[in-house]
Amino acid sequence: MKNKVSLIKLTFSGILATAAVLSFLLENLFPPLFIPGARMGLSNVFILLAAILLGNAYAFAVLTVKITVGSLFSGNVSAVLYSLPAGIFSLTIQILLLRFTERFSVIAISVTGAVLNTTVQNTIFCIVTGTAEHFAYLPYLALIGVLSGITVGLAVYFAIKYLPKTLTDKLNSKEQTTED
Amino acid sequence: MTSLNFERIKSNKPFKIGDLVLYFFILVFVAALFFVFVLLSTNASKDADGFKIILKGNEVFLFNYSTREYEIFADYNDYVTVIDEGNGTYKIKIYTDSEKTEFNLLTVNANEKTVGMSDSNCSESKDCVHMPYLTDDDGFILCAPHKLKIVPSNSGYKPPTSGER
Repeated sequence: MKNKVSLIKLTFSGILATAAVLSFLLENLFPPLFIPGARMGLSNVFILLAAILLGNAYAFAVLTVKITVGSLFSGNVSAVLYSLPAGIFSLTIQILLLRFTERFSVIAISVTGAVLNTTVQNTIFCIVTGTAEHFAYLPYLALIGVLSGITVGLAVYFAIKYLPKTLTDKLNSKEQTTED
Repeated sequence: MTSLNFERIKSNKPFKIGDLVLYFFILVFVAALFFVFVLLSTNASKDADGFKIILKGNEVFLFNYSTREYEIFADYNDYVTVIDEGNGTYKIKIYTDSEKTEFNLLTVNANEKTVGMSDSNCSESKDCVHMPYLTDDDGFILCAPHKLKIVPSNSGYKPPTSGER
């Protein structure tokens, strides 16, 4: 079976994945926001952009690269155990909601994704580490998730708003392809 | 599909009336979390007079604030170092691997009955170092990459009868 992969999409997804990993690592250099483990999750801007601009498969690829490479470089490989399932779940819900953009704004979709991601991640974290006490942080982490979702959503909204149409035309052109 | 979505989002406003449905569910969900985990939660570990360190499921160290006595459990004698700095302050360094490359450093204030994580080489972000101090009656400190947990000494944790480091 031969799948056609767009070269320009592949290149652009590489750029988004690199930006996601870099912003993830950069954020890790700063102390957590109010609650242990809380981050703004700015790298999710690039994952949501990948879902909108490139498609679902590319978005999942960017997400996987961000979490595995980011966790490896930040020296916390065990984070993959709870970050990856949470990321996949949250991205799946966001992709489903992106089908209804005539009803929902990208900011509301981002907020939903952030809150779900935080909840699933914290739950898996508690199970993996055997720390039921960490559930006490969950309501506060969910609140930070709302804040993070608004920030990420606004960033994606303005990025989409000001991205030139020529870029999306190129991303959707079928001229430059390679066979897998 | 992608192009259509892009055009739609580009022309969308930052708020749509349908968002209210999503925001309503999020509000109910967050309120439920607060109700369950904050309002209904009870503090099971009141007035502990010390703390214990649990490494990979095994209890390795016990400290008493009042008597200032501590106990390092047999298998971990080579992995835990306690430095008495005077005035009720202690530094506890614990190696979390057999090669003694991974460590956590705790600071104990026996007068104030607190213990906190001062340093660790667990990860770049060092989340455990930013966790609030454990007091005599509340909280916990967790270093997930090192599988290290510090809890009040009267918490319900029961160590396994045997275990491997």
